[in-house]
Parts: sequence; structure tokens; C-alpha cells
Amino acid sequence: MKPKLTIALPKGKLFAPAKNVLEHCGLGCAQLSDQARTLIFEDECKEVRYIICRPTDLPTYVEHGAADLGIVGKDSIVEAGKNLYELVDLKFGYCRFAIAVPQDRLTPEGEFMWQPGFRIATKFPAVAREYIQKKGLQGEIIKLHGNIELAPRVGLAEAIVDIVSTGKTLKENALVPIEYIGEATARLIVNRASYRLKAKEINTLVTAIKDFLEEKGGENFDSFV
Amino acid sequence: MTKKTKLNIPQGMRDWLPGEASRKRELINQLLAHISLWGYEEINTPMLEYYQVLQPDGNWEGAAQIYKFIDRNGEILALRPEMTLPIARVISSKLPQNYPWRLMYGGEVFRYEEIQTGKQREFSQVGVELIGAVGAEADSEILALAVESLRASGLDNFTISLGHTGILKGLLESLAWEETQLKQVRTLILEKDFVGLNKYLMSAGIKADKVKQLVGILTCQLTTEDLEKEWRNLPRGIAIALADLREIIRLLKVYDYESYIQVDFSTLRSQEYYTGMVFEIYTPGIGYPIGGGGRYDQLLQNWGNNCPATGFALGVDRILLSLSSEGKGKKEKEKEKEKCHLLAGNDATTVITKATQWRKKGKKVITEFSGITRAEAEKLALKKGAVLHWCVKESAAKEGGKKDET
Repeated sequence: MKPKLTIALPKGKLFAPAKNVLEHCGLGCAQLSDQARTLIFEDECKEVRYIICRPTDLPTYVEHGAADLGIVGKDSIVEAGKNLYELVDLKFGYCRFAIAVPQDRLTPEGEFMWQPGFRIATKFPAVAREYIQKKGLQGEIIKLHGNIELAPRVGLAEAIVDIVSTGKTLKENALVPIEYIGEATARLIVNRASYRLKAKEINTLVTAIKDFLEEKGGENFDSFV
Repeated sequence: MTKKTKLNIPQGMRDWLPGEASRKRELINQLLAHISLWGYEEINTPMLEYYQVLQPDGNWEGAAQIYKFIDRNGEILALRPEMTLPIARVISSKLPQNYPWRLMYGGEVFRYEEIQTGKQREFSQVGVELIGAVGAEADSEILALAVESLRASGLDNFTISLGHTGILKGLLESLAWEETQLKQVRTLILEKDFVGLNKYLMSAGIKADKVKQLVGILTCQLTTEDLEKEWRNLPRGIAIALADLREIIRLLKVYDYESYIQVDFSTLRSQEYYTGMVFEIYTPGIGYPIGGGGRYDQLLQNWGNNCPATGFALGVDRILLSLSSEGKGKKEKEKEKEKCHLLAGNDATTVITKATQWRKKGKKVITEFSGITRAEAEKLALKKGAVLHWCVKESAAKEGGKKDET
């Protein structure tokens, strides 16, 4: 029998809290793991299928209907620019988009002057492009896939756009955030067609998640996990 | 030395190869044939239009997706991104005003989609416009026709999510906001970013319970029965829109197509010209609507023509995709009709005469008579999936006393 719902979960730091939410909503996902080689799981009653994928790809799976639902950070949704329904703010995985520059590039007053033809290294080119366009700046964007903080240290870029949760990584690399351009938390996203065709199943899950969040009071959810 | 030529085609375009091309044409013909049963007449407009025609009020959200060109006189031309606007132009300039007009079309439209989305930039639409007719009667005709033509194409598993611009407008009016703020709210609803909508309304200083109520109305999924319930203390605009929806659904019940309908007040189309009911059609396995439409009573005013109208468009490529994923094959009888025959032999007269006779009877016939051997003909028939008939010269056949037709 075809499973009623397919849910996509992100590998990495959002995996554990996402699994936690689903477990509390009564879904049998105990055997799920993002360390295993298997990327597809089914629950005991074969009613729900889970797929585990990279956070950056997750919106794509949901957009095209390979998964009905997904849990992923707003940062990935913004960058992917996909056409999907964002139903619930799950409140965990809080982080911010920050523009950061090397400490020693700041003026004695602590300001940063954008030099013409500057370069920004980032995992989020769409976010970075929107930022420089809004500011009316002219610069180049260099897309990297990880360890963005390395770029300014070796002269690949003058600034970076990255997500920051505690700021520890920036500090360790002598970088200072000069501006925050938006916040992100984990979201429940839904495929446009599934939202209509599987309305009943999805609504049941959404209500369960909302009730669970309300119970937890939402705000200090991170510490709870 | 061979000449270097480009073998690839522009992004988002596609070649339709033997087999798929005819499947597509058949589907279009099937849809149009069915729609014509309702008295709709076909209309064709050029692929290229003046850009202004496609931008009547200057702010269609899809403006960035229009392919534009400059012609030799410096005019801006554009490939049509949809068919409603060109038809509105024709109605206002070339057709006599004996309304209502029932028009249908099938043709290619062009939209500059982002590559990553996996969407084609050229795609076919079949659609209808019912122009000069007001009220739930016309709207329910459009919905019923959409359901019926989809069913005629072999698709049965689909849902129509039905909304009404009047409800959203009423909700937004109750906020008494400025145009820019309303636009932001509209964009958030169009993108179905309900988390963002929640935040935006909260940050604009709306009380939490009111926000909850607003987002609640937009996110709740209603069955057609829910609409029948008493809804109290509604602003006038919303009450009128609700009554309109109820009447549309009442009429759809008469058609017995009510089960395809799901009421969803957040239904919005990217075109801003809709003024009444709006709908989108969804089917499993395809993350996008396979069609949609609605009422657009003010659009024709752009051409000085104060005329109500309603209609829909279906995405032919997406219907093909969902038909193949539903595994709907052709019926055996149709296959038999389409069977192809290969008439081969070494005598041109025999082959051609016979082929002509058969074609007159409506059979599909391929002929081969240029030095082909029987073995080669058998191979060819296998490759083309045709039935081989090996022809021998009439006189020779008589002499030999055997006429071979396998």
C-alpha cells in the first residue's frame, strides 16, 4: 500500500528537534536516523514514509511533490525561493543571517566602509544579492558550500553572508557581524497539491504540532530539545 | 570538414518527438472537441503581441516572466504569457457586441520561468472564456466545463480549490491599510507564507486574537457543507462573496460535480485581474496546479469595454504528465484503429494501387518499394511496430498461384 504521507526531514542540526516534534505528535519515527545509510524509512503501520535529505535540497523535494511535507530552516527556504506553503513556525533552530567582516577592516569608530568592487562569500547567494541590491551597492558574490569564515582570512572575499546562531564561529575567525538581515527558525512546509489533496491528514498533523508548540510555550523550545 | 552547428535548443523549450507529439495533439483535440459540445467556438491569436496589451494595468505580477523583443520600428513586442489578455483585446476590437461570447482556444504560451524550477518556458494551454455573462450561472458553467473536460481526457483524481477575491478583499478592507501594506499581505497569501503573514500582521499592531482569526479563515479548509453554516457579523463585502460562492456550489450540485470542489479562501492566482470566484485544479504527484481560472469583470474596461467575463485555462503538458503517472493507457479499440500497415514489395504499381485503396478506407499505410527484400521489410515492420503485407506483382502472383500476405 502506498503510504498516506511522505515527510522530508533535514540532515544535520535540525534533525533531532524535528524528529522530536513528530514523535510528540504521535508519529512512529523512533527508528529514524540521519546517520544511517538508508535515506527512506517507513513507520510500522506503513502509513507514513520519511525521507532524509540535505536541508538545501529539502524545499525542492517538497516543491515537486516527492514529499508532501517537510521540516526545514527558513534560511534554506529563503535561499531556494521555492513555491510552497509555509504553515507553521516550529520555533526551534533559531539563527540569523549576518553580514560579517574581519575585525581589522573596521574603522577606529567601529564602522565598515564598502570598497568598490568588493566580494561577498556566501552559501546564500540569493540572500546576499538581495542585500546588496537593497543597499544600492555594487559587488561580486562568490558562492561557497561551507566554512564561509575561511574566505576573508585568505583574501577570497572582503565580507561574508552567513547564518549565525551563537556567533562563536565568527569570533574564532576574527570576524564581526556588521548587520543582521533577517531571522530564521525551522518551518513546516507543505507541497501545494498535497495541501489540497491530502487536506485531512495534513490538517491533523498541523493541529497536533500547533497544540504541542502551545503546550511548550514555544519560546524556550531550543533548550527543551 | 563538417560544419559546426548547434544541436541544443534554448532552456525551457522542448522538441516533441514522434509518439509524444501526437499524444499531445490528441489531448488538445479531445479537450476542444468536448468543450465545443457546450457551444464554445475556437479562436486563435498571434503568439507575438504588443507588450502593452499584455500589461493592461501595468502591474501583473508575472511581468518579469514575459519574453520581450524590440521590433524594427522600436515597438516592444512580447510572446503571450497567457491567452485571456489577447482574447480580451480581440473581444473589444474585432467582435460584434452580441454577448455572451463563448470562446475556446488551444495554443502555446511562454513564460520565463527560473531554470531550477524544472518548469518549461513554452507550454500549451487549452482554455475557455465566457464573456458577457454575469452571476453564479456562468461561473458554475465554467467550473462544470473544467471538470467535464478533464474527465473526458481520462483524468479523474483531481481537486478544485475554490476561493473568492471578494472574501480576501473584504478581509483586507477591514484592516483599513495603505496600498503598499495590502500588496505585501497579498504577496504573502499568494506565496502561502502563513508564518510570514502572522508575523507581518502582528508587527503591524493588530491584536493577537484578530490575527489568529484572520489567518484562521485563510488556512481553514472547508467542505462545501461548511459554507452552508451560519456565518455571523460579516462585513457586507464578505457576505456578498459568500452568497455568490454558495450559489455557484448549489448549481454545481445540479451538475453533480460538487465532490471535486474544496473551498479555500486563500486561493489566489498570480494575475491581478480576477474580481470574483477564483480556482486552481490540483492532481496528485504534480506539485503545481494543472489549471485554474476565475471571474474577471473589470479586465475588459482597459479596452473601454465594460463587460463581465469568466473562464479557465488548463495546462496541457501537466495533464499529459498526470495521465501518464495515473497509467491511463489507450483503449484497445483505439489502438486497433491506429495500427499501422507496411505495404512492401518490388513492384511499384501493385504497392501504390493497394496502398491507395487502403488509405481510402482510412487505414494507416507506409509503403516501401525501392529494392527492398522480404527480410529487410520484416525488420522494418518490427522497428516501426507495423503489420507487414508483402506484395507480389498481380500477374506473377496469378502465375505462381500464390499471393502472399502475412
